[in-house]
Amino acid sequence: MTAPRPILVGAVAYDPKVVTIWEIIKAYFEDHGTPMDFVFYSNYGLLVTALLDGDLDIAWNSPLAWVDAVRRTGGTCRAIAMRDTDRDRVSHIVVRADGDVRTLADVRGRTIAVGAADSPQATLIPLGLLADNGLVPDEDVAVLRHDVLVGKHGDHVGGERDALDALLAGDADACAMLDLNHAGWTADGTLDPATTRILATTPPFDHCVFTVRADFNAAAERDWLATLFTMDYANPDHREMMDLEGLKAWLPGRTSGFGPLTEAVGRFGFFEGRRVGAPAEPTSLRDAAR
Amino acid sequence: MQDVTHAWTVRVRADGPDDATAHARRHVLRLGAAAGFDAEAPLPSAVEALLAALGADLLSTFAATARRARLPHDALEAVLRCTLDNPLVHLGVIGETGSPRIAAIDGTFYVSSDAGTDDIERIWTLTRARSPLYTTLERSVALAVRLCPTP
Repeated sequence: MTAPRPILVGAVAYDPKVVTIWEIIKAYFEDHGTPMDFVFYSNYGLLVTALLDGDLDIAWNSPLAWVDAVRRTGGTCRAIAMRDTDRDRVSHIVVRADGDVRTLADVRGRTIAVGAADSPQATLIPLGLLADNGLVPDEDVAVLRHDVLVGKHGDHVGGERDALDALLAGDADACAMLDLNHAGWTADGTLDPATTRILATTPPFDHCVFTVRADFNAAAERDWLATLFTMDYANPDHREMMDLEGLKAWLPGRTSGFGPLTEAVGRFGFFEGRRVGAPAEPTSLRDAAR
Repeated sequence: MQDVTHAWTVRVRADGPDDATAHARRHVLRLGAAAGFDAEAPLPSAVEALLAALGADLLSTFAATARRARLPHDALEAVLRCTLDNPLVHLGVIGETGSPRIAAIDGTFYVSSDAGTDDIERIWTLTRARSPLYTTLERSVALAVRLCPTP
């Protein structure tokens, strides 16, 4: 009897440590009798194409890749699972505490620093918040973009971090960041809550999601999800893997949390090739090398 | 030029994924992945072994050179690190460009000795010129090993 064909999962890798995490996840699935393997791509465009071409069974999509998959499948693709930490994220617009930007309206005529052009959390959704409040990016507000590893949809926090540096250096009056990064940078001292403050917060949105085509084999999907949902944070053998992936529980996929991004993508013509803001000049050899 | 050719042979056998045994004469060396990224990997990677070999070469060559020059030393130690041009290419990430080659090696060579700094530096210069691995790698890699004499 031949062994069942492994379920092939695709993901984007921006750092070798991502591969280490997936090696552990693969071993977990194999130990539970659900063979899986993975393929890595350099960017989400390639990942979504591979999924739609049938080269993959499941894609670990960024929120923007999900919106792209919905667009390219006419809405037939399905969201099957996500981390608890992918749900109800928000992004903050942060300003200097001693500055004179007191309300969102004060941002008019000033500069906001954002992450990469394709970062949902550090560019598209925060700029959508400005637009919702009558501030048209590039018209009412200058946008300073930090294009680090474009194609990876802001997975790499470098652009988001550079946007914070631009705020702290006085090159921008505000910057955008994911709530998790705000918390992390506050905890490690990168961001001083005494000298910065949160000016505004976006509506909640969902982040990464395992995505399949409409024709994905139902039995394979059921088995794979059953194994995924067996991961238990209370089990020490599972905890390291879940910590590495940044979650305490896997949850069923949902599609209700992609509204703010879908709206921003449409408003800014992202998939028509338009980009908001001007890319920042590299400020260091490190930046130039990216 | 006099024919002083001597060849070395190592036999390397795969014992499993990321597990190989190298036999050099009657000595055995176990190695893991080509370039491991898991801090808990049970075996040193081939890249780490290369660094170890370079370090051992420099230590051995320095000791021999110092002995001939009657330069006393208490202890020698080398700390070396390297980076790859693009490790994601090695990992087979589709769409990545560049090379998995070692892009740079840097480190520090510590010499504990009461000898004068000029004498230690002279031995260090000879060491680098006589080191088989250093002279090989410096032709293809950005190689910068700093001498650090300590009393």
